Amino acid sequence: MAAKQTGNGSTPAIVCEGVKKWFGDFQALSGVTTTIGWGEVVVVIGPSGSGKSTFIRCINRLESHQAGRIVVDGREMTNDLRNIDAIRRDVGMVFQQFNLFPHLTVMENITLAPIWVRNRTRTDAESQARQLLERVGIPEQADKYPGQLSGGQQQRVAIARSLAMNPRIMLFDEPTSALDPEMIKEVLDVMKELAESGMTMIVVTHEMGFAREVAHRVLFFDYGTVVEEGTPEHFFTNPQHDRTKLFLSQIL
Amino acid sequence: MEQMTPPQTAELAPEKPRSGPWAWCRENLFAGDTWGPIAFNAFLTVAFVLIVLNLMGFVTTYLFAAERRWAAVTYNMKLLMVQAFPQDDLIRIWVSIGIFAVLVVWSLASWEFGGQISVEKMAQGVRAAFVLVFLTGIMHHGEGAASFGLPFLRFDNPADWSSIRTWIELASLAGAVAAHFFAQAAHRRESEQTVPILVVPVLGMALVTLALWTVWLPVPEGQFDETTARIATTTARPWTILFGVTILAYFVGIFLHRQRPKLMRRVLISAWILSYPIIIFVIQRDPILDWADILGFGETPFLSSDLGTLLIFGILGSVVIWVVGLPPNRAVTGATVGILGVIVGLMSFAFGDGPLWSTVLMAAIGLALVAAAITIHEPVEMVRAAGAGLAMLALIIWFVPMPFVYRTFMVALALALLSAPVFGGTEQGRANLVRAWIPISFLIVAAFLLGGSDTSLEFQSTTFLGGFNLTILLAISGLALSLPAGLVLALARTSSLPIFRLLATGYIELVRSIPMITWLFFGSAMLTAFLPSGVEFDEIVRVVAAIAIFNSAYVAENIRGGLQAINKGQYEAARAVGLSVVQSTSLVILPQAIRTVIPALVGSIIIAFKDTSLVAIIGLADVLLIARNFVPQQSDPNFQGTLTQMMFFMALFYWVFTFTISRLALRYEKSIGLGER
Ligand SMILES: Nc1ncnc2c1ncn2[C@@H]1O[C@H](COP(=O)(O)OP(=O)(O)O)[C@@H](O)[C@H]1O
Ligand SMILES: [Mg+2]
Repeated sequence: MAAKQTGNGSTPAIVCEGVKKWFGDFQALSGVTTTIGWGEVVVVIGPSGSGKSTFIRCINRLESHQAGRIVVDGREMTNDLRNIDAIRRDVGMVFQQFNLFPHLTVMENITLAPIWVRNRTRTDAESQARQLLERVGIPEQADKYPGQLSGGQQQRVAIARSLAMNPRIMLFDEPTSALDPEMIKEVLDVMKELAESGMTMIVVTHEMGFAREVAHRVLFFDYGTVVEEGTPEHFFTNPQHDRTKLFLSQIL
Repeated sequence: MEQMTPPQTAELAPEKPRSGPWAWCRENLFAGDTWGPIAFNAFLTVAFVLIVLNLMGFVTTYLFAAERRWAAVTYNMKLLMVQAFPQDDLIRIWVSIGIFAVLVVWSLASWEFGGQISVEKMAQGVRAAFVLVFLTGIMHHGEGAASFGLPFLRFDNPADWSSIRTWIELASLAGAVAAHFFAQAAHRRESEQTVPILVVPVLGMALVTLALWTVWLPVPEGQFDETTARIATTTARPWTILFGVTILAYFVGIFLHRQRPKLMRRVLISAWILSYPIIIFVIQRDPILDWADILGFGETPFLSSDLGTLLIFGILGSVVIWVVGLPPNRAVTGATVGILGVIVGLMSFAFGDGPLWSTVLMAAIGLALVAAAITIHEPVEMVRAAGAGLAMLALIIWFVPMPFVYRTFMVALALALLSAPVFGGTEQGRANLVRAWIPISFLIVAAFLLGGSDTSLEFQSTTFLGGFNLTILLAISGLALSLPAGLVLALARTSSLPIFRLLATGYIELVRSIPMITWLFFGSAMLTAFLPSGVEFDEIVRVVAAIAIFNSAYVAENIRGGLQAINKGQYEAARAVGLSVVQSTSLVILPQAIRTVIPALVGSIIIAFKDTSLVAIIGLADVLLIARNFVPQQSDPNFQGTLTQMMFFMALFYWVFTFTISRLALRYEKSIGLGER
């Protein structure tokens, strides 16, 4: 299952070289190096506190790395605000806690950024939002507030909100961890559909079924670095590293 | 998803039995199951009832005592409301109120304010009010007696038809009975009947209007001698017209809203913003306006007239902002900065009477900035450099002699330009910046008009403003300044830039640790010393500034509380979908933060409204000073020693306003509550 090379030609979607990050004296990332191609679906797993969230938050600069290089779509992450804004418009992110805007309706949540960042007209943005809601399976909830939806529905709205900016890369940080078991499937189904459509995705998750079925590649994180990586078959059937074996034995 | 079949008949919650009077008493007055608690609660209830009865007794005894001179209130109403406002100019007051009322009802119509209130609830409320009035009326401590104890249940001698008390008692009893039957009838209806909630204020206003033409109020005839007289038509007529206009405006508002809802809201917001300067500067201002001077056809040349100033800066500033907001581009930025330097130099030459070297300095700085902009390569850095340069420029301008208003403009312009890299770039952002600039220039000119520093215009506050008119002006102006200022302070105090945090924290702590009265003295007596010589603002303006300084610190702390209550994930999500820092703050963070602090903000607003009465200490005649001092001590000998009556009235008066504010806020909170969960 090799990654499809769709993107805009030569540059890979994401290149990380020796990315390091400290919180005070605590080193959260100790040299992450990996390259992610266009259309590739990468699942990141690892024990709690191993730096998975920090890693994907560095990719859209919610955290800033202190050493190494991160290049997204040929643009290097520096402190240049305009570069960061351009990258953020191309990279969508879905959070564990949904982080929908509670004071806005579902429709307003989705159309906010297209209207203000992409200067789309309201009618234009709303018709796109309706299509997206259709795609994530909740077209009838457009006029409700997030507080009136179930967790699974909220997370699907959050996915639609990210997609509304037409991103080329999507980051998911444990999108199903805050959900009741019966709602996990509806969110995973949406993500599966997204992966099949050729979206470049990095997914932090504990859903091993999803990793097996959808991922092109699995990264195992521990102590702020990639300890082991490979295809799902390799990873689940024939792990090399002791720590990987230990982790898998604990969660499977 | 598998479908679950719903149960055939949903089970209803058991209906709560309607409790009889005894059960009701047991539940509410003597709550308890065993004798111990019952006895204790019974004691509390009885004691409390005694206290309430006594309070009611005191009130009645006070209100209806023979020696009360309520004419002190009714006769001095004009004094209380507008103090010495010239009789011939009262039309200005009516027009001001009219503008305000029309805007209020138009907004109600445009934002579809309202909802329904159940007829039964309304009738129950009316019943309770009548019962309270009746009970208060029949409680009496006896003539002159004011001792604590069981007040008499005193029905006036039925033959005493001349006593207004008898009539009030009878009327309230009848009213209570009527309301009771009405409530019962409404309860028996199958479906609950509701009316729009707006019916309540309209009915209230209609009653007041009716009363204006029918009620006879006490007036003094000689010393301590009262008769009654109709309310003057000069009062009744304008209020009646206002009532009519308001209702008409509501329906027109609804009609317009149906046609073009979005446009109407935009027009309304602009109208609200414009109404403030129009009411203060045009309508309530001293009538001796020299329009020739304002327009620049009089003694002052056009360029230094108010209109000239406005046009120069409005247009020039818009162009400059538009250009600087362009996506960063070396040539454009360099050229802009150069042009700015030249403009500043020319201005200091044309309007300042400073030495030649200041002009040279300006031009040199302009050139240096051009050079700097060309040598620095990163476009973003370039714009920042330009902004920083402009800020520096603004600082220097303070030391170059030129009219104060121009300096203010230059500083405002430099600040606007500083934000250009943040808002600018997109067409929309630049347009917004320019749109923001125009009201800013208008406000600056307006402030100087009011201050009367550059033209011969005088705002004669001492003769023109007083009474409730002054109170409301101080309250609204103070709030209009302190709400945005508090917002900015709160954002600064929570900002990630240490210098902003430090400044905002220092300001807030300093302001809060000094009593309001000290700030008022500062505004009235000392502020002038801090301003450059030759710049003088009217006392009212200085006092408004002092009030704003004080209130903004409290508003800032309230809003900061709201900001801190917002989950960090909200900001991250906003940034992750590509919103800029400013957009994330203004579209995602602030709306939520402000919602959570509305109760606290309303508290601040109410306190600010009541605190305006402190201006009496620096000699401004607000409504409370007139009630407390002018009427009982200084005016007509008929009203000597009527302090308690006046205070009673003032208490009621302030209560009506603050209660209205807090009710409106409550309704607003409820109306937006949906999005909060
Ligand atoms: N803002 C922060 N400040 C200090 N330490 C942090 C912060 N964010 C994360 N950390 C620490 O960094 C480590 C990695 O965190 P995280 O990336 O969230 O791990 P994971 O997502 O794999 O559970 C953890 O030990 C965590 O305590
Ligand atoms: Mg995590």
